[in-house]
Amino acid sequence: MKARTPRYALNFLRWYCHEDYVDEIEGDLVELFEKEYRDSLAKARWLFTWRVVTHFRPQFLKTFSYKSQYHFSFITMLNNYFTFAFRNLTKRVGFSLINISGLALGVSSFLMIWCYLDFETSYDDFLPNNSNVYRVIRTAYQNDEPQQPMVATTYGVAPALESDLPGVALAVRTHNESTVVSYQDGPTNRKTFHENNILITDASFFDMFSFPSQEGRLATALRDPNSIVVTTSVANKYFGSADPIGKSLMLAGGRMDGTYTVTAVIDDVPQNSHFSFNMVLPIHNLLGRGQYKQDDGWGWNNFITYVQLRAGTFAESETNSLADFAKHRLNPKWAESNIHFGLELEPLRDIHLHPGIRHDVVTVSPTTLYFFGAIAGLILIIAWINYVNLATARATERSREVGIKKTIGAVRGQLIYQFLFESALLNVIGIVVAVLLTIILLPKLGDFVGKELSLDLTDNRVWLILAALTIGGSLVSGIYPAFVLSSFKISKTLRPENQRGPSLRKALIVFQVVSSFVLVAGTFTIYRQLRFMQSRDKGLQLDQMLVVAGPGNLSWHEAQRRLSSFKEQVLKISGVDGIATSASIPGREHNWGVNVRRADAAADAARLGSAVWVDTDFISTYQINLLAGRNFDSRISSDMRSVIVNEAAVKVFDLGTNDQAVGQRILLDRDTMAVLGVTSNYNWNSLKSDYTPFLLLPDTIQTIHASIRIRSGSIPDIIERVGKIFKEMMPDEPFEYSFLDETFNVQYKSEQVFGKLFVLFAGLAVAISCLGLLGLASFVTTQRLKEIGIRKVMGASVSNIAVLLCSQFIVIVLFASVISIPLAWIGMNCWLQGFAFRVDLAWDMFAVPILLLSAVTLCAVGPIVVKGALTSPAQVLKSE
Amino acid sequence: MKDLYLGEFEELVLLVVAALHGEAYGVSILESLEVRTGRRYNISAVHVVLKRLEDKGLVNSHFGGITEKRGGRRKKFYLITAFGRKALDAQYRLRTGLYELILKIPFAR
Repeated sequence: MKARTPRYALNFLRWYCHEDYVDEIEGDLVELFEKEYRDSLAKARWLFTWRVVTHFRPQFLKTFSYKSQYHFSFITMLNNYFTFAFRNLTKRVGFSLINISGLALGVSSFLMIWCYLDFETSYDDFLPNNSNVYRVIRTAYQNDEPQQPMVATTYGVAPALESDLPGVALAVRTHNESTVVSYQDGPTNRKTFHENNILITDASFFDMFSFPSQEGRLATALRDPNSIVVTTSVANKYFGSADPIGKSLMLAGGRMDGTYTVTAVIDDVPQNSHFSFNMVLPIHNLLGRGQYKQDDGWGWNNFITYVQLRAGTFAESETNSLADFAKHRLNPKWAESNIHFGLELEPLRDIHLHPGIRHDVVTVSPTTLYFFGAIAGLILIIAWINYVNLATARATERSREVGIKKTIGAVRGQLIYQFLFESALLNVIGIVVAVLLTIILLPKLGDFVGKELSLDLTDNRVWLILAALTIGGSLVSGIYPAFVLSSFKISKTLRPENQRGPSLRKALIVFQVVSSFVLVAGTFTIYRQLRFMQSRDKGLQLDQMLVVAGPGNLSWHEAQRRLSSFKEQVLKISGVDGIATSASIPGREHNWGVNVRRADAAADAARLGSAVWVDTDFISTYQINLLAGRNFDSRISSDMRSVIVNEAAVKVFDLGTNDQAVGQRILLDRDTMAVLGVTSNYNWNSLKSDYTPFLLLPDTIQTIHASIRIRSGSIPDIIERVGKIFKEMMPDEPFEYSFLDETFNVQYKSEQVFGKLFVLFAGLAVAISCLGLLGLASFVTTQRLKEIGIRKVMGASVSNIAVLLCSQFIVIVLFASVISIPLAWIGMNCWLQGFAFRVDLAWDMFAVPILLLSAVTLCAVGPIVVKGALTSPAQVLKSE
Repeated sequence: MKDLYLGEFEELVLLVVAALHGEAYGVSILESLEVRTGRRYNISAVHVVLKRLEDKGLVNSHFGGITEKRGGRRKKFYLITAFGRKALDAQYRLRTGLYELILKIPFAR
């Protein structure tokens, strides 16, 4: 046998050497090698390599240019690539369809998630000078222990900031109010609505936030104490098509009672703003009335303060002067309770993405957004993996084509280009379909999650992303198949042997299944947690609870009188089990965040508690469990100056046992009250937070909400009768009602949105993975048709063969599941930490996804496999 | 003739090409050189010099037939040109001229 010259050295020589010299040099080197190798093969090989290297000189180099290498012009080759790509596309229509739909679904999911993320991160971007505007955040430190930060400040903060801090150019305060608004259109026609999004603010509000104005001058619109600015939709609601400027709106009841003249109309506040008002009123009247008349500006924390800084003044010094400000202005009042405050400035654009602030607007956590970003990436990768898998699965089929092309003289580079071109073509088709899909589906997704989403094709970033997806997708999905397919040896391809499937393909499928599994398991956990939160016993009745909004137009005493008889009348309706009035209802804010301590305790023992004013029927109507003491009795006057607390309050305020607590005197700020009873804990707010100390304060009638507990039965009928009584008692009041369980569950809206999106994209991921499995199964089956035929001839049954073929897919799914259980466990555990009351991760949360994925895999793979197994051996064994 | 300069190795290779008389190709040239001088040369040096000599017009080349040996690659044979011969003659004259001067000088001891 002849010794071989070193292959790599020889290839290297052939690669660099000019064709005029290659004969001479290679010939001479080989001749020398042939003379030398008998002495020592290793030495001869080494010498050969050394000589090749020493020949690597400019004199012998070939000219490296595209033209001399390929004789076809670029355009001709492109044409050829296109023809081949197209032929391959149409030759296997099913295959191409699977491929394209997988890519399209993946890219479309990616685009939709991007649009959603873009929307969530675009909050308040539309406001000019948004980079200079900040919201003041106040953190109370009780005995140096920081409490939850709050947006609420007193109304004295804004003007004081403006005068004390030179860096502050402008400071405004806002306050949200809800009341009944009516418009007298002619002598008989009166339009009355409950309005919950009324913004009370300084006249300079529109200097800081330049909302686009429709009519009227915003700069002066709030100068007059009795002026009002409304949004377009409010103008339409009350005035129809008439000119709104100069019209009068009546606000009834509460602190804003009076008649206001419309001075300007602004566009509706866009959804991607943390503001959600539809009426703006000047603050003047509010500060002159009610509790604020006696307030020096530092008592009631009911205002949000915004500051606009002079350009470029936010620095370390600003933080220090804020600390100084808090020390001099805020702390003195609270020194005796050992409370001090810290102030922070929160950039306007961060408000929406900064959860965890008390009394804040609806926010979204950046973690959630990262979660979705990761999902988008995963789905895209899954789709690309599909392409890789399907393309390499066709390798044996394509190998003949490669072999013939190589025989005719195709260079490997050309083949790589050809396969890349094919993947580019498929990717482009996929992306076009994806864009169409996205345009159609995005508004629906928007409805789904309650956001106005749309794909804005005039946005340059969209085109950038599409370009990146096209190029990136073509390369990522095309490179591996291109190299694998073009590497076939001519001799092998023309006489195909049974090729083993590359293990990379299996690894990729495992990755797909792992991703799908994590998403499916995640979906299960999210839904279980949501269901758990909604169905868990909250310690008070939320189901079958009809909440009617109290009268707004009547004076306090009149309202109390009429509600009192309304209560009596409603109780008479059969099917009504109870009715109670209160100043707040579960799921809404408490009425009073108050510092509470035992009357005999030191001032610094005070802890924050939540107080709500209720009437004497509240505890029985809401079926709150009294553990000790008794309920309020309106006939005993001392009862009406006592308080009923929950167990958490007993513990936090250090009142001893439940029985010891009854009768103890506690201080609410400066009011002393006796504890009349102790109830078990209840979830006034969402189950995300733990039980908090809660105090129920008695009143004969409260006029804000009336809660009616209904026995199941004909609910519409009861609502109608309640409405009739309401209208009889209070003819000028709007009858507005809601169901408590619905309004309570609004608190889980972001979780619900999260869950909905999760289930959608988990489904998509599974669907895309299934497409891949489907394609692969059909391929593997076709490949093994002969084997199947022989097995059948030898006596295997159809079911034997089907099981044999399916089992390899099931094994992959099971293997991937085992890998992904810890991943899913960690991820879900992490998510669940955000809830004070949470479900335990149970085994079935992982078992069900495994079964589900196995079942889905069988559904995708089964029919194809069975079809393959049913093929008659005569058909497949006749050839060759 | 003035601007033509032959280096020592160039001259040796050119001499071997002339001496081998139509049988001169890379390996034979290398082997003759090594036998005559007793030194080892790298074949790449020979190839470089041959290319240079050909570029200067001192040698001509033509390909031989394909053989089973040499990996199926043809031999490239070199022949000295008339110009090459002249250059060798000039070199020879220069050296013998100088050499003859040596005889007239008594050896210093």
